[in-house]
Amino acid sequence: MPDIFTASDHQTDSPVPELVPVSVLESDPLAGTTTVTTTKTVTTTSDEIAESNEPRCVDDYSEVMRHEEPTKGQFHAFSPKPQNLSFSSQQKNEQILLLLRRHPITQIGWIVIAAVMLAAPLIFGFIPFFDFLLPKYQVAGVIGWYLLTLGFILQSFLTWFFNVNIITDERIIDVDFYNLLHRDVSAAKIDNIEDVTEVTGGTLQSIFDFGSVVIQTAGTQQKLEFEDIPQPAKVTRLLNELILEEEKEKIENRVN
Amino acid sequence: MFLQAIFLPGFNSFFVNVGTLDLILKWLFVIGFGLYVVFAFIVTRQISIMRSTLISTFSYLLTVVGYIHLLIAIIFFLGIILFV
Repeated sequence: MPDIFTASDHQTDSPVPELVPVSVLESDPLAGTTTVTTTKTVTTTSDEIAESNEPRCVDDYSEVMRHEEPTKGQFHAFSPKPQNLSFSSQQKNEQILLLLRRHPITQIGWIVIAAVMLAAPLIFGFIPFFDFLLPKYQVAGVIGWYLLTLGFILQSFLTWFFNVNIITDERIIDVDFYNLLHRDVSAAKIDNIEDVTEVTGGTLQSIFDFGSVVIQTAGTQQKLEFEDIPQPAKVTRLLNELILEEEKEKIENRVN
Repeated sequence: MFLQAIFLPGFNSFFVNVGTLDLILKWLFVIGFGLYVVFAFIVTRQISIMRSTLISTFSYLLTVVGYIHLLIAIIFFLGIILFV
């Protein structure tokens, strides 16, 4: 015998449980009729009442996120529901849905350069190119070279690690560290997204499934670009699902 | 001939004094390593700014790496001043 509870929409600040009269519907499956038979008084809290107004969990409305497991590692280029991670302007109830970095294959360039830089002193060790230098200067030169290599590796890694695109249930954030001195953080509300374009092309992008997602917004920052991110089609699909959900929230007057 | 005058000990050319060139070379290394210390310091500052932007458990380790990098740069800078 199913019971259908209907809670009133009004919300109280009092944490004390209150008595709300509800109608209990009793249905007769054989007769195919449903009638209101009794009126009971049940105990309910203001939290329970508010539940109907709360935003839904992302898995409820996003097909993309439903199939993704939470990411525990820190070095993924595609991290759905990342754990132990937050960002500076994150709001209290804002949930990070997806963290994106450039695809690792795009980092091959600096990795190869770093490998060559590491090997260079060994190669020049066989060629008496710097033999005319005093030994103390030769040693200082090699130390300086390895320091430069270390600095290059550190700077390249930091640029990759902190250049992130974040999609939350409310906003999209694009963090760009162009170099050690120049930083650009842009954000746009999902309501303000007007157009999402996926851009892929070329052999590498086709083989490794990465590309760019260009997001046109109605805000002051008119265009946000997620560059060289993995699985751009999936990201585009997620953004479209979020836009739809925001529209539904507006229609249903749900809290966000 | 000119390079020999700069880099080989005890060689005095017609134009330059070897001791002076040795000093110039030493100061070039000191300036180079000094600039690297400045770079390493900027890296540590930048890591702390990046950390505040994206907060994760790994960020703490990166801060430590940044300070170790700065320490290494300072040690070699002092080494160049004292021993070269």
